[in-house]
Amino acid sequence: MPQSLRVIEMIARKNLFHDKGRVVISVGGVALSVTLVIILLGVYYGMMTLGTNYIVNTNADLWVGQEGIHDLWHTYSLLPRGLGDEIKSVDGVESVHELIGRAVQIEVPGTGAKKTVYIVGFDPASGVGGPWDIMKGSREIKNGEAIVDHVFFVRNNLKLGDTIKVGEKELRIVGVSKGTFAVVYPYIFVTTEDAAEIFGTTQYVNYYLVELSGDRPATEVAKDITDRLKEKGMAVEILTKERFIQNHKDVINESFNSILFPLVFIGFIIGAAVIGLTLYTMTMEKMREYAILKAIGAQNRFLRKIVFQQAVIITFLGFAVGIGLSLLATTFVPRFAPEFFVEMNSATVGITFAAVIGIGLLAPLIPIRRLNKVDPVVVFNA
Amino acid sequence: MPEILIKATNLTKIYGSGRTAVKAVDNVSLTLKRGEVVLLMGPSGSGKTTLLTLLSGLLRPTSGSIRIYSSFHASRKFPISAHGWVELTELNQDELAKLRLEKMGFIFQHFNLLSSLTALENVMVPLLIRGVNKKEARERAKRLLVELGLEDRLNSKPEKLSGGEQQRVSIARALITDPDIIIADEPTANLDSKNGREVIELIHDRAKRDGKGVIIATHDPRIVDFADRILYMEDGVIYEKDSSQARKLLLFKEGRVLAKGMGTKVCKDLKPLIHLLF
Ligand SMILES: Nc1ncnc2c1ncn2[C@@H]1O[C@H](COP(=O)(O)OP(=O)(O)O)[C@@H](O)[C@H]1O
Ligand SMILES: [Mg+2]
Repeated sequence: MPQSLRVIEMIARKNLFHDKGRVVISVGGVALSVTLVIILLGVYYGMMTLGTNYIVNTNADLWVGQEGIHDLWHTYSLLPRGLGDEIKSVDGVESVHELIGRAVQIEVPGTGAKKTVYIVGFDPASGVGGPWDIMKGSREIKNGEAIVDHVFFVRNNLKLGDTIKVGEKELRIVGVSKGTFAVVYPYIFVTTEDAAEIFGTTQYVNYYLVELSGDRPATEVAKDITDRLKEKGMAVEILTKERFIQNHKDVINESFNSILFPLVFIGFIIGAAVIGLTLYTMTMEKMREYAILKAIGAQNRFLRKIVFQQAVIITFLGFAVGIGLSLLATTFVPRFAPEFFVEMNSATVGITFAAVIGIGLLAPLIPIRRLNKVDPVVVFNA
Repeated sequence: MPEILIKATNLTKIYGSGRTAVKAVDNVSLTLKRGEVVLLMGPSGSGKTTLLTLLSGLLRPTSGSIRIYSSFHASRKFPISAHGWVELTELNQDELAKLRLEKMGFIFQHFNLLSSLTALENVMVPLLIRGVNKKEARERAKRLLVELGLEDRLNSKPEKLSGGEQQRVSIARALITDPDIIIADEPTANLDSKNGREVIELIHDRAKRDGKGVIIATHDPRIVDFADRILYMEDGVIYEKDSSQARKLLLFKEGRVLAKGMGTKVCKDLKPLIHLLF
């Protein structure tokens, strides 16, 4: 550090820490706003992850659904059963699996409360479309058994071996899966047969999950499958895994951006206001001292750097404390509220850091303008 | 080394304009020599502070010239004529700041220490602004404060210091860069007689020992003993008297003013001093 900067740093720091209460308030204010923003962004990224987790972790390169499908939440897909062989015969297709999945109300044992869950019927033999991360119990299921989502499991005080009722169908819980709370619905995994029974039809499935051999581009294979099924008089919509994931992100963005981003913005405004006000009042209070420095030979540039340095100190301390608080929140909150998933990724931290730097650069501007007007003559008077 | 440090010619400062204009300094010329202690005396409102701020380059004169002698090593920092004189009125803000840092030390009525810094740090500040490294600055500041009898106060904040101590710290701050010129505005006004006397003695001894030019604005008649020269100021005009005459005039005037303002008690206090002089 060059000499002049060290002096500035010293005066800035001493000046700032002279009033510890104010340091606590300003650093605390910045930290809270950083925490607020990180948590909000974390909830947003957490929703993105939760909302797409199932598709990300399901071994399907293509999702074949009814024409017009967009996502698993808003659009409903129904296709006749038994198209698997037809699809499989298309060049580049490795395997095809039927998936039955739908939101449905179930009855929780003990309380008898009704909860909406997403029932997924998958083929236990291939495991495609099934759970991918088992926390407890078994990965294998037979008819009459279910693997339930962890959040659902905890929230309803369930134990392995408990029975849940879906309509008339009773299912014994044999396993608990993680990462399967898709923002609104917990997933419950059952066999394809049980799912067909629950939904009262053996004629239809909801999706075909297609794995590709990788020899041909996904979009080409998708087009061939579409054409092949069209010849059979079947209108389907085929989405690549990436497209399908993106569709879910779009839904989350549409529903939450209008709430989330104003809140994030408010968080930053609070942070900026706290730093700005602190610096401003502090600079105003120390006006005479700045005048003294100017009188004994400091240049305006020197005074500006002091205020600036103070902004840097508050900003970095606030950011560090904010990160600390956020880490605490992301670690401890899920213990009490398992559905609360805050994802603190590098993007969240990066965006917050960039914004905080921006605030740190902007906040001193007003007090610095005042500094230029400091008249050192005042130090000669009372 | 030239004898003259400041040469001010025909300085005038008018505050405001039109009907509200105040001529605070009226066509003043003066010089300050090395090793010389000049007292600028006169009643409140006579223009002493204004004159000092003009000489420090903190205020621009309405007209007139202020030249400061600047030695060769500082010459790259501001435009200097061939003879080593810097014309203050031709410098910009930054150059004036550099000149103050380089050539002047300031002592104020209200001490003006930085409240968040310790005594030691306050004295270090001018050195640090000049780019002296921290370790050396600390050492030099410490040595000077010890010399001034403040070894027990090095790490005290100003609020923990008595008025006399604060003023000694501020003297150390003024002296630390070894400037040619010391400018002091009412340095004893906030001190009791004992401390006031000590402070003036200190400034005086340093000026004599190190060959500094000192100009002190004051209306404190107790300190006239320390002056080589007294400039008497009234309504912006300076009357330079031969020193013994000025002393009598001042004591008489100040005594009267104080007596009028504060009653006979002050008059009684002044009596021994007046007695001593006349
Ligand atoms: N900033 C200013 N604006 C207008 N008038 C001023 C200002 N400063 C001082 N004066 C006036 O100039 C005169 C001299 O003031 P000053 O230099 O402070 O005298 P002193 O230091 O001898 O008390 C006074 O009449 C005072 O009211
Ligand atoms: Mg004055």
